[in-house]
Amino acid sequence: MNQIYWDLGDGIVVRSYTLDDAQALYDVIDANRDHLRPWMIWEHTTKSAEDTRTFIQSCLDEPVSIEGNGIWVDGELAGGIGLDIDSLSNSGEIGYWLAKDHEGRGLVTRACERFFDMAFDELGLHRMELQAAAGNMRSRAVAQRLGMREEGTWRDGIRVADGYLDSVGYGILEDEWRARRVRA
Amino acid sequence: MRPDLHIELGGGAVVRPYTPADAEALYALIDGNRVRLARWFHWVDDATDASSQAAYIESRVDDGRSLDGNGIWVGDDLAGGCDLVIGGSDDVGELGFWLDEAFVGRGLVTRAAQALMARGYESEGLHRIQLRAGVDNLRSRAVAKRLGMREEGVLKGAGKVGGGLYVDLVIYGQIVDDWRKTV
Repeated sequence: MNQIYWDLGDGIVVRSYTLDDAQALYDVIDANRDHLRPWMIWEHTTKSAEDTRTFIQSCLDEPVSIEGNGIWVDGELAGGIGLDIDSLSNSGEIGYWLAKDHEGRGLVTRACERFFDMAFDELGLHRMELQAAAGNMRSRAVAQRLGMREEGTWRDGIRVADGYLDSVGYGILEDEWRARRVRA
Repeated sequence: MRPDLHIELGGGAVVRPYTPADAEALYALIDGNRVRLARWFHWVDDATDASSQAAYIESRVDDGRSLDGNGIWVGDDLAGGCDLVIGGSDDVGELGFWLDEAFVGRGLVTRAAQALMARGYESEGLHRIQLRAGVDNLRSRAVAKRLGMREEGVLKGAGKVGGGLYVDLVIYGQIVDDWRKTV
């Protein structure tokens, strides 16, 4: 269990979920079903706060990856972000979602930047990856803002409620991230 | 790992999971191919003696899902390994394989991979099978093409190999609809 708690300024906090967050997490998913359903397979399997509680518990039980974290703005849960770590290849994959009302403010990009700093500086990972559905332009724009390289299109790479979507893969290496941070 | 797996490839060749009795042969084969394999696989560095391979074989527990921890045998001789790993997502499989230098060029890996893919799609309900190979690993890439997989992109620095180095990987993919057209 690796827990995080980051104050990113401007009222933005990124921290790991605790079991006490199960109801708030369910409520924001339930209020954003139409917004999430096209991209997130877990939308339709999340039927009650018991499901979000089970998800949070599974994240707390996870020994390596840092999967279950929320993005809070002024105390309100605005979205989720997780880091899946592959120790064998020494790489990580970031995934995220955001409530509709909180889009367009750079929240996900800021949270990802902090995760990438952690991945490369603290965890010593060599590479970070991101998969976005080919038609999810908001998600792909995050990858571009992070300076990630578009590496290809995976046929039916993402499973969703209605079937499968092609996914676009993005990657960035430790030295590329550091060079970018120096310039910034 | 699936202890019941046993696939005849013809010509006396078989794919089946390693058993504890195979640790010595597995170590000897990896050690005999160390320099070739270390260009592409980080796990070669972990193969320090027969007991390291006994530990690897021991760690392949029957999870009822993943078709991994398999050797390719020709008669009584171990010729290499071939896995179809089913991990995080239960409808995606990832192929991996290696071969002893003396057995290269007989189509063993292609036949083993075809057999595992058929089982993955037909019995395990896989929707997609992928393969990542070093950009310069032309033999592996030729296998991917023979398997009818499509080249989907290049993952920079994604492959950890021997000696703590990293190589670029080509990713190949295939979905079940396309596989059905090939068989």
